[in-house]
Amino acid sequence: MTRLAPIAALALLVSACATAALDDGPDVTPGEQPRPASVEADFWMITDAAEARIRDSGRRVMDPAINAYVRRVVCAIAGPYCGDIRVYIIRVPDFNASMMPNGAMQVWTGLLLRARNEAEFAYVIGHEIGHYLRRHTLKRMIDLRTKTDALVFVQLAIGAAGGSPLAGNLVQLLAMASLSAYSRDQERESDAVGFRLLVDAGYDPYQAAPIWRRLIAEAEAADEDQRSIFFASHPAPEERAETLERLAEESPAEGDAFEARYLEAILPLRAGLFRDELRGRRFARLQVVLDQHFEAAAKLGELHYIQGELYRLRGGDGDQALAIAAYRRALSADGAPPETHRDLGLMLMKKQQSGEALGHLRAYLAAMPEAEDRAMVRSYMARLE
Amino acid sequence: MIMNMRGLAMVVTLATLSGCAPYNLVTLERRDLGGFSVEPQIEWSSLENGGIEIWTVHGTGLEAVYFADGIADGEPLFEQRFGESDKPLPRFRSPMNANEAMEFVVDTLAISGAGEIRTSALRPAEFGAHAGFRFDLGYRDASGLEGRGLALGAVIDGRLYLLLYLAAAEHYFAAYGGPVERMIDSLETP
Repeated sequence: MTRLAPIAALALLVSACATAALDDGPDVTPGEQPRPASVEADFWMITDAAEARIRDSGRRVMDPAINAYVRRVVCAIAGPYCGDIRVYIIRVPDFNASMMPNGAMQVWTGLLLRARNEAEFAYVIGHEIGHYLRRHTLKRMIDLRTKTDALVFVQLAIGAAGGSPLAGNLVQLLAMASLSAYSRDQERESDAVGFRLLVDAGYDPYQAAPIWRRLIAEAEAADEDQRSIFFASHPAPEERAETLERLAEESPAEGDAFEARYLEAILPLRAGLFRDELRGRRFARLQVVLDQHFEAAAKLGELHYIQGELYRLRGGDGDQALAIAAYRRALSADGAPPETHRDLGLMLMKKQQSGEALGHLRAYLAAMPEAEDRAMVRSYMARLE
Repeated sequence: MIMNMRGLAMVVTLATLSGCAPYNLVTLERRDLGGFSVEPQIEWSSLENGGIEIWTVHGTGLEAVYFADGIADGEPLFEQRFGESDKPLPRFRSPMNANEAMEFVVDTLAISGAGEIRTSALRPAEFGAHAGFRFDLGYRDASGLEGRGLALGAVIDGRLYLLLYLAAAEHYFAAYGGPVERMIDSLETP
């Protein structure tokens, strides 16, 4: 115990200054460039190289319409900083956005699919710009360097004192927890900045919190506990949602959610984004996202088709019947893709319902005479005839 | 960052399959790949990784032929995980038709990091003595490099047999396309 006491004291030293640097330093100013030969200039060089990799990524979305739309929202939120921010939409079916200190912003397509309206999306953008304005990455790197230097010193001291490897691990754990706490404080600060930017840009302040509520629902649906006391670098979504709800109640501002124009912007991409999600085969999570889109009720035929695809790929007991029912609902609604006929036909073929299967495969080829799988579909039809 | 950032490290390609596995020389003699055999046409370097045999000349990032020797119900195309760690690999299901088998291959490639995958010309094709399927594909790898590919497969007794050729679109796909086509022509099943 006596030997552990100084170790604990040293460990506390490592974890102590968790939030010390958070409020230090001025915000980034519009058009600002780092001073040559400064620490910040070094970080910019590193992030410039990372940005080049993102720019050339095979997953970058190049569609001009969605890029122009996202850019407009970013500029509405960023105001005078608009010219300093470069946006890259990356095709990844997960909820995320990030911002580098040099002004490069990534928006993952999983976020586009999960935001319900422009205000929700704008809030997330505002949060990211909050990190940028407050120079969070730079501060985190400096914090990381300070604490890892201290960590090495403490571990050397423990080693010299004949301390156990276990004690060294404890110190490392505390240092990691301290870094995570720092990161969580930055997230809270960015939440506040994001909220202010959202309100200033004329959006409905009540749209900041709901996206967190739905992310909680998505995580709970999957029965996944993704949070860890020590290593979660973000505040619990519940806490974020509650804080943002309180901020909205306290705010006298009113604004619009802009749901219609948001849907109009993402609808041309939506089927493809859902296909990316289906590839991930996280069916319980995907159902939550799909239900969100059913509530908005735009192009229901497409949504019922995706629902059918979810059942087909899940392939559990009873899923075949559910898929067939969903495909049928799709065909009686607006916007079902021609593939609905093909996939319904192929499923009926498995169930030996040859006559109806043949009808749907014919309907598919009639709608898509140049379909890339037409030769294969004709061979299925020949088997059925 | 809003949520857990796994970074662009997830955007890996099948090149990762090469890992540190030892390479062996594939000579010109007919070679049994488990359930089917081919004449290699040229000398290749082979390695086994992720449960499948891979042949290459310059390295799997430039051109590679992947052989799946009878994937059973419930098995993934590769035994190993690549890229996105929190997404399950697609599993083969015995009653899969050709469209679903193509989807199984494409979704596995997508989870493994390939982007902008475009399939074309899914068509019936002979797989030795069996009725099979064939399709072409295009994709971009993690660094944005354009890739092309072709696949020939068949579901025989509930198992998926597959020959998958992936190569950089610039030069390599065409350069080794001839030997691969002749290899396909030489494919025999017992």
